[in-house]
Amino acid sequence: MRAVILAFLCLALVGLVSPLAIPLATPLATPFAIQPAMAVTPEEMLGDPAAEERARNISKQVRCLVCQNQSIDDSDADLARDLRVEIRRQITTGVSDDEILANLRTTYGDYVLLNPPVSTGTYVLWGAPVIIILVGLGILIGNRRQMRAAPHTIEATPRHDAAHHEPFDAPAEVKKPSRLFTGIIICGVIGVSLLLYLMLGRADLPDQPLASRTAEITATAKLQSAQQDAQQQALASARAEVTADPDNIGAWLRLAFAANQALEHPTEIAALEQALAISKDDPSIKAMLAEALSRAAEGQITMPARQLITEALIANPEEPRALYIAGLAAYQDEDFTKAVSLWRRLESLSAADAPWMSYLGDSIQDAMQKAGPSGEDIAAAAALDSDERMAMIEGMVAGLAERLKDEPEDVDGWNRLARAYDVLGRPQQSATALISAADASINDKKTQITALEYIIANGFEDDFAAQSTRLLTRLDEISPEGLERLFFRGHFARHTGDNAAAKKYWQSLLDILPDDTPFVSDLAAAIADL
Amino acid sequence: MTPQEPQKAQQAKKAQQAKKANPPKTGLQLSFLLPLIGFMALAIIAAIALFSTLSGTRDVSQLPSVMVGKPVPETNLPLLEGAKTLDLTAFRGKPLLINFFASWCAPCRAEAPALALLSRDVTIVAIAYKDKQADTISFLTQYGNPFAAVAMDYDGQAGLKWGVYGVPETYLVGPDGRIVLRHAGPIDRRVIDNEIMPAIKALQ
Amino acid sequence: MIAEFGHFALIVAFILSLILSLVPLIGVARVDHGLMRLAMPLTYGMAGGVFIAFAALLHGFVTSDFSIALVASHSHSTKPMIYKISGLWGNHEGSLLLWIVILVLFAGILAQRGRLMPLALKVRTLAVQGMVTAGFLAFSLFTSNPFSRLDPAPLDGAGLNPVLQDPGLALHPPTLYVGYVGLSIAFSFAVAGLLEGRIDKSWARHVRPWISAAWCALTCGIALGSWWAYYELGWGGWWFWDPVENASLMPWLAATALLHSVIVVESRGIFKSWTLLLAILAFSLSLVGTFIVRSGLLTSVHSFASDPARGVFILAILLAAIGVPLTLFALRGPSLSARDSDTSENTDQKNSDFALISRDTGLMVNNFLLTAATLVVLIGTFYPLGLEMATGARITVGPPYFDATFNPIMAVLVVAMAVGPLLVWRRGIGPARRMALSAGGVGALAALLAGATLASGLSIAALAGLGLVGWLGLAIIGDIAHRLKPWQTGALSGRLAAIKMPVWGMWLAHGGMVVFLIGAIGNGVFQQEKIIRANAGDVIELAGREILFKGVEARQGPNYVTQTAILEMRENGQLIAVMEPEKRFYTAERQSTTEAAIRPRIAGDDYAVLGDGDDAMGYSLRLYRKPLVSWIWTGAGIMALGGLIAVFGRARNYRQNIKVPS
Repeated sequence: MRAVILAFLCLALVGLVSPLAIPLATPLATPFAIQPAMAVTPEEMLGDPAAEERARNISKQVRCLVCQNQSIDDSDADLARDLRVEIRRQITTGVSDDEILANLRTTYGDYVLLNPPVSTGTYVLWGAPVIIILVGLGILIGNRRQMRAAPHTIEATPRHDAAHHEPFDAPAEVKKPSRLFTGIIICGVIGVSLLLYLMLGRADLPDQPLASRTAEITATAKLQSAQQDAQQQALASARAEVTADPDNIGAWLRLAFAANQALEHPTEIAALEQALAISKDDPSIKAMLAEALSRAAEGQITMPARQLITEALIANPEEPRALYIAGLAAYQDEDFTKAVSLWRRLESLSAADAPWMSYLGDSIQDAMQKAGPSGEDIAAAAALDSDERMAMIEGMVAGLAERLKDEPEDVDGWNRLARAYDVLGRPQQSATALISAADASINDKKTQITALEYIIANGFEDDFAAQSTRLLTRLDEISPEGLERLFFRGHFARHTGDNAAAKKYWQSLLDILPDDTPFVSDLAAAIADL
Repeated sequence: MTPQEPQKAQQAKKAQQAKKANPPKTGLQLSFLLPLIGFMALAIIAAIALFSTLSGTRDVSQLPSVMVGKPVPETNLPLLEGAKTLDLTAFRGKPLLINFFASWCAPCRAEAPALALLSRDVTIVAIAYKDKQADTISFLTQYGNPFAAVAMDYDGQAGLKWGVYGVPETYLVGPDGRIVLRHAGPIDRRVIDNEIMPAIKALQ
Repeated sequence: MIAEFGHFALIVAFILSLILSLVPLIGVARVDHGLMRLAMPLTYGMAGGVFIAFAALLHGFVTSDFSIALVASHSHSTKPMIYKISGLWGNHEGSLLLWIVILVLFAGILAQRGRLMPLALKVRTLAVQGMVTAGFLAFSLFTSNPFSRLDPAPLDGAGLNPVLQDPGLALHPPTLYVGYVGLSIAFSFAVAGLLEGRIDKSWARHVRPWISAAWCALTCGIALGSWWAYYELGWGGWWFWDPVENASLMPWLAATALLHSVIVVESRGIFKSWTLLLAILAFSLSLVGTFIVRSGLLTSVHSFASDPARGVFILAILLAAIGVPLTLFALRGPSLSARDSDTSENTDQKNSDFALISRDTGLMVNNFLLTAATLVVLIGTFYPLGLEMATGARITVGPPYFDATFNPIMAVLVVAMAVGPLLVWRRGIGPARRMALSAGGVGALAALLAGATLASGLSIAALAGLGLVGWLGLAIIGDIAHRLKPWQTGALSGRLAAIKMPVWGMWLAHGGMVVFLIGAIGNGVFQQEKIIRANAGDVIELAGREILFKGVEARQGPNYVTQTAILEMRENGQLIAVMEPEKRFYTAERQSTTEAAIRPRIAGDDYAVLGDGDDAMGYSLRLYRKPLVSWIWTGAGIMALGGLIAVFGRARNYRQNIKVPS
């Protein structure tokens, strides 16, 4: 159960981050980074030196389209190599230099030519140097004519700028600015600077030179390697478990979880596929598999994943993980209103303490913001109010109860029913459902314990006395040495007034428990009370 | 009278004469305005470029294709599966999208859902550019295959004919077999709504 | 603490620069010496703040403080220390801070020296410098803050782009920025002059050393960049007409014109408007260069991470920093050049009148040609952008365009360079003309003949280039010979002493150009290349040598692993070199680079590059013989040296001639 929740959390994180990651992907991927070829490799060169010379000269005139201002002759890019090869191929088939360049121009445009062709767009470009020279000459000749016609003499105008009068430093009687004045200026400067600094700076952060962080670094490294070791161990033991017990769905799910922690997606996917096969297409596992596929695709809800989600939702329209992922898919498609309505549905179906509720709210907020004002209205309208929600749950509960009448061995169904009743505020019926779940799995310690816990928590020991006895008897058989059994036995003994028996049970429990268990002191106190 | 005074008087007289002969040039002169005009022209160009880049209408990485309006080039490529070759004439009569992609291309993965969306409205034929068969198959398995056909351009030669300079690139081909538009880069909802769907509608 | 203190210091510097932009100018308007004199301490304070900030950031890089976002994204714990340091300016924010450091350094030098300058001019210049600094500091603090922090701090950085982990590239930006920023002082002088409403010979005298220093640095910076491209990018090219390369060439061309034009202002008091315009233009082009690299408007190998939002801020700075001075120039320029109120010269002279054959005309032609060249490069660089905005069409303007338009203009300039120094002010051509010009003619013919006979199939352009080299080279030698008359041994030392330093500087600078041309043409025309696939044990013949390929081995570097090829080069059986080109894989950044093996010699370089392959199918090798290629950068270095000598020589002359009142 915890594994499932944790896996859900991971997906949620991925889901929240991935819409941000995808638009930031580089707009155009080129082969450049993958296979560094070299500008003009020996294999490209033509045998005939004259032809090769032609090829080099032509290449020097062709721009590499995926580089920054290089010719294909100089570039290492794959596209550059392809063009070089193509040029050589055309040379060997007898095409002239001009035709080769024209062919390239037809497919790639003027941009590919380093020598801009003379066309309507480039008349100004090619004409400009001529125009500049002509205009410049015109200005020069014009100036010269003016100068010849009216040579101007030097006017002995008095200096109009009195401040300029003395060529050297100021006369001695310059008054120095007063101390007060200087002081005010300095204070003013520091004051304004402080103000600005408080807006821009981070006075609270100390320097963190690398030398002072060796402890932190080693600790982090240790933690990381410890984590990795733990992950690998968990993975290994999960694998062992699965090899020993290949038909156990839980084992495969645990393997998937361990693989998820160790970031081994292929293992995770394979494990989930196995679990899916054994469980005969359980929609929850389908949803888990879809989540794993998306994780392997860096958060993108791929088409195969969507297919799985659709199937899961058909089988179980309230499967929470499937609903969440469906919302994510809509989000990635930028269909934000759909995302909001899907997530709202999930919200209404979930218990208030469901582990995904904390970030589900944030996801809905985010999608509502992206949907924009009109989108928010639509999404709000699509949300169910509490009465409708109740009605929906009631309907679901009724349907589920009906189904379980025919299939009383469906432990999961009983658990779901119990949860639904609990949300509806009907603990008695919830308890009944839990007991039915326990009855449907008489060898499963957990279901017995869950039922007993619920009974105790709600004070139903009297209402369900007979069932409790039955549960306790089963617990005796399943785990005679179990701590829980001792505890529950003691509790029910105390409830019926049999203090001696209670003391006996709880004392043996106390003896077994290690002394530093936090529970010990409470237990001792309870024994003393008896 | 000091010795300097006659000289000064003469200077002053000369200055006055000179002033009458050519008044000092004040006011605007064209040659002095030219640098300012030139700079303003450059600044206007830069400002337009800057603001169009900021508003998103100009994308430096997008090279306008000169193949638009021309008929589809000869593209006899082997199909991914099966022994046949791609025959684009079979798709005449309705709009067709050609999508150049590759398994080694990250943005191609990102645009997979958008292509799936598009495939409901228009036929898409994909060409795997400089890729291997096995890698293409695993890409399609992982990200889904919304394509009517997938062809392999192993050496990039077909790409050269289309004017491809990177992946992904998507071409819209009209019912008559002429290229209508080219989008370089991954396709997302915005591109679909603003560029591709309007173009497809215009063809119908 | 240190990082945040540096941040605070930068903010203080910003506030001070704002005050510097405003208060001293008020002082000038009101003739309030107290306010005017504030300019100096304000400048020192501003400089101090920026230096502290830079030191704090440097400390962060040196100690690998990954809580500083810049360090985390551009450094790594395993990097060698020199690249940890140079990583500071290997990115947008850090290089911007470096710009600002040099801006305030120069302002500080101006504030400290310049005792002989008129106070108002100095104050105005510092104020304009303060405005430029304020603009850059605002851009840095509000859009590209180098001190932004990360909390929690990552345990290691993202690493520095391996291509940048290289000594050449550690030096290239600082040198280049000294050039760009030095031009800012000339710009500030020009704007100060426009504000004041007067430009005269003393203005020229004060601004000239700054221009020379900036020009020297710019020459070195561009040469470093070109040399780096040659040895790092793996195919031996050294100039690509890449937009960012053009962005550094344009200020250089304008600065060269400015360098010569300001001489005319100083000597003759004319060409003032040209000089003003060139001073504004040179720095404006530096600013435009910054815009290109950081705005994402043009693609280039040089581009920093492009961010159009920052581009808006830069556009605003450019509009203010370039538009305002150009407007001032349009409004006040005509009246400035009409008036000359320098009364220290003989007022009867008709200064502005000069003959067609005169140094004045020569320098005017020089101005014109260099400005035309600058404009051609400008148009070529921005035309694709302009056309795209106008029609949406995308074209490329590449090296063929510039070869067809820029080279002819420079060719005319080279022809003029031989004649110019021979000319005399106002009218005539000096006595050296006969010797120099005839030597030049002989040189041109000899070069053409040599080219036509020794090398086969040379293009007309190559032949023309050879002819130009011969023309200019021998013309300079002829000029020197005429002055020194080395064939007359008597009084040789006297004649030697009589030649002033600036003249030696000019000869060196122009001679450096010849050396550069020899390198460029020699390499372009006589290069030999062999591309083969070789297995261990193969011998390749190239340019009279035998190169034995011994195989490829794996090696380990400080933060990378390599595949290193071992090539033994033999001439006449003698082993003359072992070349080891390699491919490096940087482990932290997960990127590879190709490192060429180069054997540089005066006569030429041997150049080897390792390609792909393995032991089974063999390795792809590219081997080059590049004659005279190092003359390209040697020539640039000689040019810069010449400029430097000219500056110091003049400063010495000036100090000898002027008497400072006690």
